[in-house]
Amino acid sequence: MADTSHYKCPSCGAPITYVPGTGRLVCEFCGTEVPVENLIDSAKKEPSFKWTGTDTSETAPDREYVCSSCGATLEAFDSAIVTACPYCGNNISSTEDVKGSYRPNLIIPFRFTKEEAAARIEAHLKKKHLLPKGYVKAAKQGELRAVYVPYWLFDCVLDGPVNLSGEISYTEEVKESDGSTRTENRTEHYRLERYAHLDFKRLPVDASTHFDDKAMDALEPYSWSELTDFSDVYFTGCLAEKFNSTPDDESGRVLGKVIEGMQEYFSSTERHYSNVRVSEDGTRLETGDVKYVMLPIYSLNFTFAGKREQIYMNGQTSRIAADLPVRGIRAAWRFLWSTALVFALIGIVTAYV
Amino acid sequence: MTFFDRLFSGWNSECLLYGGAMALVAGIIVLVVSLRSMKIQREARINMSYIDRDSSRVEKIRDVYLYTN
Repeated sequence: MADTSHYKCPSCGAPITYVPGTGRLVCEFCGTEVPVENLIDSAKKEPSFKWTGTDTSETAPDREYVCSSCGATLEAFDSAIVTACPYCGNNISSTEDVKGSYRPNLIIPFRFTKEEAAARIEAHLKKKHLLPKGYVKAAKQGELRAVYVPYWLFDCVLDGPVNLSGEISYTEEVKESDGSTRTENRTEHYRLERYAHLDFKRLPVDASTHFDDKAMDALEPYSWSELTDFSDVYFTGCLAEKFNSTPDDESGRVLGKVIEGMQEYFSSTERHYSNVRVSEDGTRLETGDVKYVMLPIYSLNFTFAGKREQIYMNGQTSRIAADLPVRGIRAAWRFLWSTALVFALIGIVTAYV
Repeated sequence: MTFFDRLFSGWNSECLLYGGAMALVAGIIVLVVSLRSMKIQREARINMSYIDRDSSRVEKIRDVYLYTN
């Protein structure tokens, strides 16, 4: 049976919950406020995840939990650190899953409360005029969960020769044999030979297969200045997952992000040229340190027209990621009125110019 | 001459053709932008935020002219 961790109110003994953006835990029953620092023993440095360069980490085993509220015995969702009791809704957190090599190095606490998150998601949806009728109403009735998602933060260096292709375009006046002139558009093509040393810091890749990679990438960027030493104090009132994919499992995604970053870096540095592309890549990627971190995400789940819908919000920046459905008739109407509007504007300009 | 007299007298077949084509292109652009905003989008700038500009560098070896077209 796994140990469970609970933070109790010093006045009445009821569970206390972390309030996003305040740095305090509050008792729902007597209103007592406790600063986070009071519950974290900063002098006591507990061992946490350490990257050794090779994948020795294994995903944590499944465990049984006993709900402290209703006493039910339950088997947790396979990679949850904090899970909700299906009988009484109480959040149960396992101390076993945040110990030793499973203990995250760092965490970004939630900045937005559940109410603020719900309001921001609703405001975002109300701006989407192509949504089907009833979608916003269904979303409002959905289940909004505050979840800490496990991430790997990679430090890596890309080093080596790179060949790029670049263009310089210009117009030139050309004199014809009969004395007249004509304008010619020319494009000069170049091969740019460079030696690159690109230092990537804190490149994030989510470490859970339960979350859509495309959506997790779209929730970036995070403000790393708010990273703080891990403590399960921040888990109170939230759900949390542990990693179920190792840094080696995610190496392909890291490489993909590094290549994208390299392409954009060159586009921004070679301003003399346009259409800068990497044509030959002789670089090699060296992975340095890898940190295990917990990042705050709101997940809204609901069903609409028989289909399961999911909307994510970054709990630190409020950035929203969702694949939203489109009502065909609304899209057609938007196309028609925008076409008619431009047509009318051209008509007015033609009449008066 | 009223606004509408002037508006409708300004049209000829060429104007209708080019105006119609431009309006159609504008409508398609509005539609594509609207549809894209409904799907998950990644901002390009996030990739740049990974790179530590203080310790990154690019050395120029040479620029080779290839051809002009």
